[in-house]
Amino acid sequence: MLVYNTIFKVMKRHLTQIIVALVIVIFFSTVMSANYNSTSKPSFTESKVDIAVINNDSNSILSKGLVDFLGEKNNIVDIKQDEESIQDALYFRTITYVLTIPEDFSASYINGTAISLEKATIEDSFDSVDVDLSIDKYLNLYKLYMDTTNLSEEEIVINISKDLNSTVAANILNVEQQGSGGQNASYFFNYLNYAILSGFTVCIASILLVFNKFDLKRRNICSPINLTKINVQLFLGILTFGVVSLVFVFIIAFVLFPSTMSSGKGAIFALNTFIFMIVGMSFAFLLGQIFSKSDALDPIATVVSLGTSFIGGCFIPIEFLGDSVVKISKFLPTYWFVSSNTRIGLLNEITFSSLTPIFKNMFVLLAFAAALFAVALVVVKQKRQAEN
Amino acid sequence: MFIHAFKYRIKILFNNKALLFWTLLFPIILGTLFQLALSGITESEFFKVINIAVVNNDEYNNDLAFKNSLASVSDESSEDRMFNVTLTSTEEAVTLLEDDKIDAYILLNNGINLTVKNSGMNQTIVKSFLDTYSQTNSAVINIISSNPDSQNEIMNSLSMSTTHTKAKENTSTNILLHYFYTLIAMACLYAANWGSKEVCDIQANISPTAARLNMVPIHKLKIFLTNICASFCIAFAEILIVIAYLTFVIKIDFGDKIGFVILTAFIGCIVGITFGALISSLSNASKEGKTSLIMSLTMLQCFLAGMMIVQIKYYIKTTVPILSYINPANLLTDAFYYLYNYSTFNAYFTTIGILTGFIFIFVLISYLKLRRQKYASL
Repeated sequence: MLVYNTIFKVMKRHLTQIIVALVIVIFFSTVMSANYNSTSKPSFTESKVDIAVINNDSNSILSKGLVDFLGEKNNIVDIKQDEESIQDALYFRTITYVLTIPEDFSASYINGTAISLEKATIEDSFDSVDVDLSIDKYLNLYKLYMDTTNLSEEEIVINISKDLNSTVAANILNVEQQGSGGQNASYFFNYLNYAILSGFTVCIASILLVFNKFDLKRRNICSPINLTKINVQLFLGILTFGVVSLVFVFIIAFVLFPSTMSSGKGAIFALNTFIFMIVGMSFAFLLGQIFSKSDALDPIATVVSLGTSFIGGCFIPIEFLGDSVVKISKFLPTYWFVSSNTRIGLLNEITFSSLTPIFKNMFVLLAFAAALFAVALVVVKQKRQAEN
Repeated sequence: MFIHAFKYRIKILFNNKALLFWTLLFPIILGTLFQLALSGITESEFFKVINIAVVNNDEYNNDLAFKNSLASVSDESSEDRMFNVTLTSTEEAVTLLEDDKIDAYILLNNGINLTVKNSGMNQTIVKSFLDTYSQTNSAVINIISSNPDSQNEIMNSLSMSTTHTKAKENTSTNILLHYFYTLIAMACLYAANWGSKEVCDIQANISPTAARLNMVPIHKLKIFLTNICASFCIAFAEILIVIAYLTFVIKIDFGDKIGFVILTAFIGCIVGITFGALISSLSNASKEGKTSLIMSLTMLQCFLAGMMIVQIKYYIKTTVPILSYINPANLLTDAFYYLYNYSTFNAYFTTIGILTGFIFIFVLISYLKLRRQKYASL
């Protein structure tokens, strides 16, 4: 078991790399799942916009009524009111709408010489459309009462607040219980794309690199252990490493998402990850054949792991990517891995028909692995011919 | 003498392919990835026409007021179009909703009923529209009950409904820019690798070249300054290439103060190199150890400056402000941000001032640490 043991000696050197990759995965998947936690709830909740209001007309009843109404529908955030703080808050999306009510707004509105309210917002965004609608509604209702009745300012505001109670009920379509918590686990597994390609693959590639060194290889060939034995031990060593990594990842996943992982979904996640690891191993095999120095491994691995993570839907969910980017990403194994994870997370029940698209994705992944492996074999052959 | 040593130093540095990759190619690749991946994100914030269905029954067909009101916001030729309405049966509406073809469907059955699949911005806007309709209805009924002759006035007033808000000019909210600001900050700080290399190359216990150099009868500071000059030239040229790539190929708009953008990059480069020299002179690790220390410290700084999650930067700025003032990556990001978004230069020059202060501190500490180092044996 000489070769087998040597593998783990080499691996020790890359331990930090793998740990760093895993810590990144755990950290970001936790942050991501916290962000997206509130997507499916049993009852309808209106989205609230974070707004700030600068009311320079605070003595008037109309302006006060408007601000109160906006406060009920949205979250009013207190911010410093100088231009630069507002700019900062809008830029970093702490608030998405700043409304400034000019000093004599209500007086001129009541006279009919309307001056506009000033807004600073993210142009053409959902948030700005939503708040605009609310403001227009309130002021148009006010105008309606003003034009048709002789009520005083206070009376109009009271009437409007009564009218505003007349809302439409929203029902949630009664679909089966959506897979609870499964999405959070999907984010975790999506991030594994980065960990597998930047940690796992590099580690395997550098082991192969060591054994492929020109002099070392020749020395091994003329050693008393025969070549088949060396290769079998090499294969077993890498397999051990793969299985240990997989188990380790699953312990983490189990700690983070106990309910999802103990259901049937956990097993499918495991299968999907295992298949993606095979792709990672084929890629590592290819890298190990192409490069002869470990200097080149890090840059390649960084570019590949970051690149696929960015455009394959791992760091940024696929629905946020542009159409042309999605088209490119279909040429990357990451896309199929991520797409399976998302589907698994959303599964309501495990049946043959609900699993078919996932199995198709797995098949695509295996095809990628086979293709990478085939390229690697071509490289091996060419190298061997060059050496002779 | 200087020119001779400088020329050869440049040649030697150009041989270091790995360093060239990290300091030049990596920022360019990362910038391209940012552009590819993030261009869709700002789009996702934009309002798009919402697909809804209305159940085509008798109540709907008889309710002319609702029909008109819905038609006015779903007119295809209008700029303010909000909805794309499909008329269907109830069963079909349910199927459409289940398949995510529509965000909501409306059923008129003793009043308006809205059915959605989940809560979200689109659904909120549909509900907001229906609420407005029903609230206006309530107001109209209220008015008519007290003043039955006011129907014409009501119609007039309703047809005069206008928008009441006007956008202020000059607010830039393109958050995408922020990623590129942190990217340039990262590229500047990666120059630390050059600085670290220069220090390694005069520490006789770290590199064999340095051991040889220590025996040459030239003042070490002279050689060191020549080498640092060469390193700086390469690092600054790289940053200029990165900025040119971002401006001309990726088409990032850095504003009209391009001279100050370059000044910021210039200062950033010096901060990077002196930071590398500092780390390298303080740490006793091997070359590789120093490199990975520098890389991880830079990444940490960039993370805190919001490279991965933009809100982190704002969170730190508002909760632990001191941390944002001692983080060079954050200061560099700020400098670019101020240049683009603020009309005054006060904040910008304060930031540049702090960065210059950092340069002096870094240089001073490295100098005190490196001077008069003696080796018992080489």
